[in-house]
Amino acid sequence: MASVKLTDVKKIYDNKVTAVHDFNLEIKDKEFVVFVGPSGCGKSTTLRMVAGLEDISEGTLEIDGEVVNDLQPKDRDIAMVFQNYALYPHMTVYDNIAFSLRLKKVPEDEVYERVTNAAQILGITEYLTRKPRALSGGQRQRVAIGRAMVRNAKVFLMDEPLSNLDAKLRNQMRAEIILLRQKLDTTFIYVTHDQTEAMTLGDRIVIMKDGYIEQVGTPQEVFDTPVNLFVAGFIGSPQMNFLKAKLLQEGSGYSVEILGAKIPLNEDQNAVLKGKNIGSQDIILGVRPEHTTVLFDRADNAIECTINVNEMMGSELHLHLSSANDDRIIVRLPTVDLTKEQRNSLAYGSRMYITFPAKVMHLFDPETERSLIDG
Amino acid sequence: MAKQAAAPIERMAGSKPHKGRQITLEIVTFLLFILFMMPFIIVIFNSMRTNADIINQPVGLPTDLGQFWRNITEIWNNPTFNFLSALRDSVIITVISLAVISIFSSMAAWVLVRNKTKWSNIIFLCYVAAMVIPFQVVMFPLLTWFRTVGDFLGIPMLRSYQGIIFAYLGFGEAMSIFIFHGFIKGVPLELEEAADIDGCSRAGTFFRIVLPLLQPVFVTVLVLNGLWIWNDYLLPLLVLGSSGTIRTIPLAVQGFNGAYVKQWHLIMSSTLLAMLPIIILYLFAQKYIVQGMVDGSIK
Ligand SMILES: Nc1ncnc2c1ncn2[C@@H]1O[C@H](COP(=O)(O)OP(=O)(O)OP(=O)(O)O)[C@@H](O)[C@H]1O
Ligand SMILES: [Mg+2]
Repeated sequence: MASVKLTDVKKIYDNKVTAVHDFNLEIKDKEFVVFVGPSGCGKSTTLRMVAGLEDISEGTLEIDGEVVNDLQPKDRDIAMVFQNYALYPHMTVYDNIAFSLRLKKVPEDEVYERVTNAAQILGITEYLTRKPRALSGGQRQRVAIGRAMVRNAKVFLMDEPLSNLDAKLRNQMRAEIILLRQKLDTTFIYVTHDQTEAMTLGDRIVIMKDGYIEQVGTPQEVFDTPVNLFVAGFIGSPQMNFLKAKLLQEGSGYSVEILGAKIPLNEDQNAVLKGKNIGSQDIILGVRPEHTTVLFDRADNAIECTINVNEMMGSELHLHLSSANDDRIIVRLPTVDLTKEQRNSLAYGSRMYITFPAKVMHLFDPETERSLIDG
Repeated sequence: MAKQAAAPIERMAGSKPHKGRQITLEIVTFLLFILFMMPFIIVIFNSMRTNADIINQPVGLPTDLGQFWRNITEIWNNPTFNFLSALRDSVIITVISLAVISIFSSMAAWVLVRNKTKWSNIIFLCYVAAMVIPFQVVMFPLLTWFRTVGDFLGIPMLRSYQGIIFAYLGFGEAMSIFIFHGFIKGVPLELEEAADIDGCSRAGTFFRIVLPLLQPVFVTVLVLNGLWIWNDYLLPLLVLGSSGTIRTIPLAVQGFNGAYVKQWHLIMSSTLLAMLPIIILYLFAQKYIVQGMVDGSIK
């Protein structure tokens, strides 16, 4: 249980690669923070710096207000779960979990208590006498978590702990980590490249790209108000649609014009744009698939599109459309309300019409790629 | 249907010359086996014969099996050969050399693998280079050097246990480090990092995590070095001398090979005695060599 504070933390590897630039973040006690971003963005590097497995090139790292830059991993009181589990192959599951306690000279009966207790929580009691090679991936993952759990460490670090599991097991373990988190009640830093994991697990999400933090916020914040194109595209599945459009300033109000449709912005949006003194300009309009209404017939301010691909997902259809501007658009269409004729009309090349209200629109500057309203 | 049935027959017909070749190969292999085993077989047979018998007819079958025990008893009671003391010296030298070589080389290899600096590379390459220097090139300088060092430090290096063990460490290290190096590169670094986080010291990480994982290759290193050191004749001859107080079994066996009198029956039986421990050790270790491989820790 501890707070973690990174101030201007930088990592330059021997080969002059700067993996992390000026990382600033304050993690509160008992907070669950997720680092998310594409491969190579520096998530693991940052986590390993917190763990003490990598030197910090510049900046300071504090745990509980104490600068720990120069402390060895074993003196930082942290626990870590590795992506590939890193279980000691020559020890039984029991010995694996007990290892750190025995090093700390914890009395053997307390070791027994803590190990069996952790095993109980994780449901691995019956495997305690086995060696890791006799376990399945999911069971190994539990042992790895158990090994970190018994330590009662100040900070719990996890580097892509679920990425070696198949999709079904991953969902199950994700739910278990949420439960575990409630039981442990400690500070978590969790690394993943999967935005779903980030959204479901995190109190706060740190979205990274090329060694820079792009945005920090609660799942709701980063979903509703992405500050730039990258975050907008990274969070949400299917991805947000990006359309070429124009922002028009007319008198006291603004509107967005796209392929003949003209959608006036709402008061809040007008106020922000006016406050920033923005005039008419080209923009990239972002709209999430789930915020788009699909019409089968032409309507006012609806954008005409052609169907490219029609993906049946069960409860809904994912339609891949293209507009006259050649923008690629994905929309979601619930299947329950569709009539048979409507279903049949969803063939390749058919025309569809889409609309969306002003409040779901995200406006990005094509040059800076920043959000005009939330950036 | 008929076509299908025909196919296997064709194949069988086609395999006839193939089978002939196989039998020839097997015969050749067997003859080679006999050829290579011949010295060993001669040793066994001749250790069951009398000296006169052997001199009369070097290759021959034993006529009286009881002769074997008489030979052994003669060796046992021979005061100059002194089998027990030779056995003791051989065991002391082999066991301590093996312990020193395996521990030092595994530790050195670990450090060389895990510290990725230019110097680690250079040092490692020096060890590899040392493997190709023939022993005969360095054996005489070695003696001079040992005498100098011994005089300088006041620790006798010639005719002493520490001297020959130190020499074995030097000669055995290069190959052992090479073998360990290759193996340790395959040990996942995450295991050591996990141990680090779990609170292990550097030494603790080596002895509790790395060393147990090295078990299969450790056995290999022990067997290779063990065979060599146990059977070695030249280095003990140079460092310990043929008339010193410390005598390994190969040196002692050579004692029967006098300039004027060669006691062949004793040479043969003592050679057999000398081979036995190492053969037993090898059969025992075989199980471990085949058995263990690291798995399960990382996917
Ligand atoms: N030991 C190293 N030496 C040099 N460069 C490194 C080293 N480790 C990582 N890097 C570089 O640092 C950058 C960030 O790597 P990092 O492992 O932190 O990425 P990541 O976000 O964890 O990616 P992934 O999702 O693939 O695990 C990458 O460009 C990588 O090539
Ligand atoms: Mg990573």
